[in-house]
Amino acid sequence: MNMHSILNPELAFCNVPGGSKKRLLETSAELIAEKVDQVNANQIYEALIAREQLGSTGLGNGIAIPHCRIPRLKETIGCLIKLESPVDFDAVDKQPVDLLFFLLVPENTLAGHLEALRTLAEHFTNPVFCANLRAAQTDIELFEAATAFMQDKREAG
Amino acid sequence: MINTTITVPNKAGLHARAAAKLVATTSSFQSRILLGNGEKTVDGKSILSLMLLAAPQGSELNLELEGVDEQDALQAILDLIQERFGEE
Repeated sequence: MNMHSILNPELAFCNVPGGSKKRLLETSAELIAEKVDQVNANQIYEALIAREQLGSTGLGNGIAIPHCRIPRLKETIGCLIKLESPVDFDAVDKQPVDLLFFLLVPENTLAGHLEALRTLAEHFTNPVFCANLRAAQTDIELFEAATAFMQDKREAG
Repeated sequence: MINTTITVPNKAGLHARAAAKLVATTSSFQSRILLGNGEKTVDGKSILSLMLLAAPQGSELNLELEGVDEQDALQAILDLIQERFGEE
């Protein structure tokens, strides 16, 4: 699975205002719902909050991957957000978060979800990838930084 | 050093929340802890690294522990596997 299969250019948002974790999840849910017909903002927000209550998706080094399952969704939908300024996200390393990759996942896709997580992990474990995202100043730059970065080893193998 | 094999016990596999629980356990020990799937071996104390394995239910992972508290760490990990990370 590559980044193009889980992220489209309409869902990359650069320099989004942060505020609190709750406010950020509300804003993000609204941004996603504007572009995705199948879900409304409140449904996304409630599902994301429910997932965060099971444990923060702030995984360290300023990165979070908020995600949730959405019934009747046709395919996994990703959304990449770079914040204007970092937000406290209860992350595992207690550091504030400034890069978020949201995943809305259809029900009953276990293997597909693991593959999507692997794709994100392959990218976000690379410091150059993260630096490129942080350097982006527009939505399109952010999208290009996210999708231009190929995992040579996997693509080749 | 301890070298053994564990089997991913829960229905959803080693997804983000299960990986986070595993890391909460492994991080509380000093020992170096590695997990591998034959193809790659990763740091057992990093959630993102564990997600690289994309390990589904039933898959076998090599577990390697090395350090003064390796026995306690192994037991804690086995307990967590036994509980299926608190999931189905």
